Amino acid sequence: MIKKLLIFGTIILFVTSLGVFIYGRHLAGNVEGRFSSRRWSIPSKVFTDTMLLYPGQRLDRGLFQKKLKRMGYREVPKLPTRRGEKQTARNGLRLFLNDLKTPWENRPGFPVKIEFKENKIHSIIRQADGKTLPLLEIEPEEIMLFFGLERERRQLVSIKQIPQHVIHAVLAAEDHRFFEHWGVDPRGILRALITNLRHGSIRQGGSTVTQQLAKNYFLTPDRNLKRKFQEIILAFAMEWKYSKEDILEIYLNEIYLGQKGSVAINGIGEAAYFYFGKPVQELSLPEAATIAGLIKAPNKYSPYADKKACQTRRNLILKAMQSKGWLSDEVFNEQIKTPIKPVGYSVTGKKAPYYIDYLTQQLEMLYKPEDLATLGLSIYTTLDSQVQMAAEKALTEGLQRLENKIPSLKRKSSDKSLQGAVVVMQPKTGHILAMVGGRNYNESQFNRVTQARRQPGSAFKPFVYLAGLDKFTPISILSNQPKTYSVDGEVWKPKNFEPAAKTQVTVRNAIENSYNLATVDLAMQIGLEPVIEGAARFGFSTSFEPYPSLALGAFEVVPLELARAYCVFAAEGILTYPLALKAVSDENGHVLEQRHLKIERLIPAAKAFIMNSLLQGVIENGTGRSVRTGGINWPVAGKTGTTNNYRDAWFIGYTPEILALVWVGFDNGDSIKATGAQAALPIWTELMNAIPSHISEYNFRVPDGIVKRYICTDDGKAYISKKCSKPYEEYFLVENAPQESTRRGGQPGIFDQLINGIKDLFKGD
Amino acid sequence: MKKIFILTLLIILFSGCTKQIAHKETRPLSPREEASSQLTQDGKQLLQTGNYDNAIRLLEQAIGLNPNNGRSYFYLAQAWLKKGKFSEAKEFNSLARTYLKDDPDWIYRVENQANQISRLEN
Repeated sequence: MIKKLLIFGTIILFVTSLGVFIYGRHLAGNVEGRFSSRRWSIPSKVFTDTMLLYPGQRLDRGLFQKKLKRMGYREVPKLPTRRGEKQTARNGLRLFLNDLKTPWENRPGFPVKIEFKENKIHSIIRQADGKTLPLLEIEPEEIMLFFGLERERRQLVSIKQIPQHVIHAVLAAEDHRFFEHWGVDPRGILRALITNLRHGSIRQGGSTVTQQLAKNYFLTPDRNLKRKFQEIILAFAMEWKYSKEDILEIYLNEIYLGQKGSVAINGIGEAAYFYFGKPVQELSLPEAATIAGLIKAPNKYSPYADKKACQTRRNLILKAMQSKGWLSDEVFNEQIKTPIKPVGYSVTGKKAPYYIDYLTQQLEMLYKPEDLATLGLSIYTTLDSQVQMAAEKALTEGLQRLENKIPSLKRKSSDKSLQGAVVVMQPKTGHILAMVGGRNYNESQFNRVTQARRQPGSAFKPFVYLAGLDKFTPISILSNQPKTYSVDGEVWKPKNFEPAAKTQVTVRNAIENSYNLATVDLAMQIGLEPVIEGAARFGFSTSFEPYPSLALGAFEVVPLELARAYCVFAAEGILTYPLALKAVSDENGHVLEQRHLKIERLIPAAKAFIMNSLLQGVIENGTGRSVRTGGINWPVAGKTGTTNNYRDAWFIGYTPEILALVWVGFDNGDSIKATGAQAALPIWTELMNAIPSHISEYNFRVPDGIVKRYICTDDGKAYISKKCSKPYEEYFLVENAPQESTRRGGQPGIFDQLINGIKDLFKGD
Repeated sequence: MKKIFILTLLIILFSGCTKQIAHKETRPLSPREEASSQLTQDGKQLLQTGNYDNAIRLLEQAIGLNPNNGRSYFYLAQAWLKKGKFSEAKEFNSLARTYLKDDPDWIYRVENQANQISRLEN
């Protein structure tokens, strides 16, 4: 009987062992499957462009300091000694730069001294050798992560990067016999039982690091016997398949270590930055012990939640390290006194949300949303965070000012409130530096820069004048008298915005003062078809129809397209493609996608220059005069726009280096009771005053094909007269300039020309 | 004497008119232009080491700082030429011509580049 029982028992044992072995192999196969594929979902990160600093650069120091803060630079009272530290003085800034890691550059961080003089950078000095640097590139700023459902942040670190004291701290806290057991530690389980009974010292759960990993990584969070069994088998399988270093590396990258708002902080690499603002390699012993102490209950022991509990827990870890012989008594006694100084964090809302939406649309043509959430791509953009912040502030404050001035613009329901949009571009490169698609993204995600279609009103007029440049010069005379036009059998009678005294005006006068009657007269003389053909080449998606009201901007346009079209004037006739996305690289830094500057010659540089000259006149003498009272004293060209019943207010202003478009209006087309000059222009001037580093203050270059002539305006018309008390200089295209030889003698005499010539010699452009 | 006076007058007058039309820049470079030149120099070096994409990136940054930087356009054309993108090379070469027209040495190089582009394109 006993013999039978033994045989039966042996068979049962054999079958069970075989079963466990087969199950173990099956799980091991699963483990291998999981390990050979991607281990973690890493959200893709979106970055701004890098920032360039150079001596002589004008800089808004407040905006720059805010940028450094957003980038995680910490103010220290002494000379910065570690990456990410800064020390601010009255006339300067000492900065220990972070590493600059992009697919193109890998520059280790180093300390620099930036000296300021009257809001300009005076010098940039590398601390190591005292060398003055002509240029300094500041690393891109992270502005957004494409989270998946898990909303986890994680920075992967290799086991080779993790210092020994960090590993010891973690093992002291969780599994000090890790390098001795095979995945399961019977001694640990026994000791845990005893310590749990005693309720003293560090209470251990008995689970090894391998078991915790099995539990966290592979299985659902059930708590039952079957689950415990699977966990143990899995732990063995993992130990059989992988080295201790591999297991520890996965564990240290996997563990949950806290919460930043709604986002989980996972892995020791991310935690090192979240709690102490530094890479894991630079964690001090007490900092390592603090993080190790968090594994048990991250939010309970977080230095952000309860500093006292955190310190007690940290000291327990240090004590455990000392008792294992990983720490001398002397070091222990010294380190337990160290205060815990977490770096701090702020949960901010989405940065540049409308820009990000615009970018995401482009990215989703290249990548699936789940890939963006998991592949850990780095996405580099053209965004300039300082311009973006300045644009957001200028728009918010400008709309508030307008509401305070005209209280009837206030609405009870915030979703119907007064709206606005701003887009800032670099004309020659097409880079979109900033985009604000509305007043408050949380209330309305409708992007008024890229999705809205609004009548441009007078802001469209430059395209009419451009179409006429072959036949009309700035001094050509246009009729400014009321006329009646027949449109589809109906009568259309345009009016000037304000009654004009003059019935005949020059082209320059007409555009500077935005006369409707003269502009329609010009359009009708040119013919509507050439105006439409000309405008269509600028890349508008609008289908323009040959109605006379076209000349007054009756056809709705997308604001971004209007901004791009004006860029052609600023860029001397070159059409660029608006760029938000610059490059995408994978998690190893390999470039997957790269967008470069693409250009196309659209109009001759000389014609663009005449337009710039006319639109500079708008600022100097016309509807855009208030730019000058807004503190802008450098050369600017621009155009205001106001539509019927004050539905839309526009201002587009530019220099050779930067262009900004501002629109103000209600989504439902209610009247804003203010013109482009009153509502949109002040927002533009406020924005420009905040971003001095983007303005060179130089004038538009005079290209080939342009000549100057002296013109007379004595009786209100521009012409060449025999007697002239007030001659002025006007630019012309060479091909249709009034011939100097045919002038009737009224132009400045040879002596005047000599004086003017000498004056010019001493006058820069 | 009268002739000398008239001749002097004409020379001075002519120099005044020339200034009006040619607008040759003689002023020192602004800090922005200096920074742009530095980037162009860095871009040129990358071009010489065969790192065309990175060179293009720096040269585009140079244009962002100074849109009239003719040399940047020249090297951009060179980079695109090396990458075998002739239409891009042509556009940038034409811009280089616009901005370097007053510099005989550079215009010579720009023309050589234009010839090289057409040769390789055909």
